[in-house]
Amino acid sequence: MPNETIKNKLIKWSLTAYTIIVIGFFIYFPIAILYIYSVNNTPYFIPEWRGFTLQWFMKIFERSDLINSIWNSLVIALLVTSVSMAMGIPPSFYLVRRKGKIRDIYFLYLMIPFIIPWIIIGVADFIFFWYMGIEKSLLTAALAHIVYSIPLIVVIITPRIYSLDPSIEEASMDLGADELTTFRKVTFPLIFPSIASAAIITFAWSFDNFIISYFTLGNELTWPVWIFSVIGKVPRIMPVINAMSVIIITLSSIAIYTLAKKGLTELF
Amino acid sequence: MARDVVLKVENVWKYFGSVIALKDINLEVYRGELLVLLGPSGSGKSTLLRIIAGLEKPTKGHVYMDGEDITDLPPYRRDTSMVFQSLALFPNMTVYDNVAYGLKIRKIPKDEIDRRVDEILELVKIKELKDRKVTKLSGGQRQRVAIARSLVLHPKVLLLDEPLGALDLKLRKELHVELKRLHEEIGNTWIFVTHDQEEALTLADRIGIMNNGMLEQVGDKWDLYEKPATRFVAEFIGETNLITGKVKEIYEKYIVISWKNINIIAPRVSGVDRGSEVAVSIRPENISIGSKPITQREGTNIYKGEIVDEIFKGSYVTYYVRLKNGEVIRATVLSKDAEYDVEDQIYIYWDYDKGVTITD
Repeated sequence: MPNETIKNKLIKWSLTAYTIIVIGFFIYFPIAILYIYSVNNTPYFIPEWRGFTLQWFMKIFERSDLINSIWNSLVIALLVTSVSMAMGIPPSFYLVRRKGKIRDIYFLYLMIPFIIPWIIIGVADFIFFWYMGIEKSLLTAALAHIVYSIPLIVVIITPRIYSLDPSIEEASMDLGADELTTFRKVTFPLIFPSIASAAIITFAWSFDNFIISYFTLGNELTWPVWIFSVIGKVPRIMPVINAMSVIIITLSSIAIYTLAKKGLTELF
Repeated sequence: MARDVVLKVENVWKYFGSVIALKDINLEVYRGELLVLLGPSGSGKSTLLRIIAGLEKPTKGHVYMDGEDITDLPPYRRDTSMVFQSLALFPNMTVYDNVAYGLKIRKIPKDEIDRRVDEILELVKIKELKDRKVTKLSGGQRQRVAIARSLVLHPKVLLLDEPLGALDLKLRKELHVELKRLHEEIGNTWIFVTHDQEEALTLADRIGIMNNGMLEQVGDKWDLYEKPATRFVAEFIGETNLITGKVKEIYEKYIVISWKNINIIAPRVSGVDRGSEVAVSIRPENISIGSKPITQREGTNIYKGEIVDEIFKGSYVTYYVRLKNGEVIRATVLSKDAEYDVEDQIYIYWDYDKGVTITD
């Protein structure tokens, strides 16, 4: 049936074209523009090539406030990731394996970040710290991040625990391993992919979170809030931000690529 | 003959919330035997196995191994090992790592682990798959890994929870033969749970029949077939005609039962009074068919009937015979003797002693 073949080919071809347009154009095109302008010798986003330059990258090192904000973001993201992982993994097991009232209340908390607008959460945090008389700082921002990243972690990890056959852990105990050894040798390795992807996503979420940080930071700023504070106020700062963004995108792409190469493709 | 009891389950009850999963289970398992727990799904057989393994705690009662009370011991302190229904292989490990798992936990020297793993893989005939990931194995191969993983620990009692459930019939039958060979070669005690009566009859030395959380009868498979203690056992093992009625007369060796206007004579058992309700089980192969009313013979039930259906099953034929009281009795004859057709008027007869009187 030649007609069928042509129809199939047409469907295949249009799917390919659609994918190229959506992924290629809408996702990679803006990033390509970013890369081009980071080395274009003009501080303005004009559609014109003014020659190659590395000056915007050099200028990064002249702005100690920029470097500082990146550093703050890294520290907060690391702290948030490690603390919220430690706080999110045990309840994930609880949620999957126990039933009861506490589970239902906890489940409600888990839904908060997905149904309440971030701006409201941010304002609530702002009011909370003001009401409690706690001076805002990097720490208050980190605390706020932790509270709202736990649901993220639980949502990523629970499906994996859920799909884990409970008899695998029983088999381990039956073969002579106590609870702790079983967790170390069987449960943890099996849920590790979800733990790794939860860690990466939490890190990225905290690193570029703006709204909560904006309402909970003190004088020290994180990278997204710092960008907001200088845009429109500091002249010729856009190409520097642009250059820094290029560095961040490149580094994180390399990191993800290496992880994927190491066989952790099931993370994503 | 007093036999060597390796495992004893005593007055075990198990509740899940308000649901009763096990009711007063008493069971003795003899050293070296292959005991099959047979019952429909939900009968509690897996729960009993899990209690023996230590994966569940009984609500009441005790479990003893070699006289020692192990009721409260966690699974990792018991000399039992379980082959799970889902097999529960460690998917992140190779065949070798799966089988060596229990030995590594016991901190056995590396060269001895290697030797024992090789030995057991040889025994279950998958030595060449040693370095394969378990996710890359076929169903039958995975089965062998699961059994090897438990057997390598030389457990006193090996527990198998419907381990062949997921396999197709042909592979199951192959593995039945293999399992029997393994059990004979290793010589330890096995408890095998299944809902498949054919599997039970193939594998078992003794069978325990479970129903509704109760252990209805434990015994030699011939005993269960020929002398079922309850109606459930009679119907669950093999096919049978179960006739229920009231006792009309009691004689020295026999009783007369009135079954919807037909009198049936069956062996007398203790605890039967006139008027009490009893059941009689008659296996279809014990019922003969004849076209003429054979001369009345001592000790034989004879009834006139009409064949209403016949089912050809290869080597034998099952006839459905309607008696004058409207009830249908099944009788099987070898195919080479199957000379009757539907609507034929025939006579069926069986010896009084072929009936089994059940009083439950």
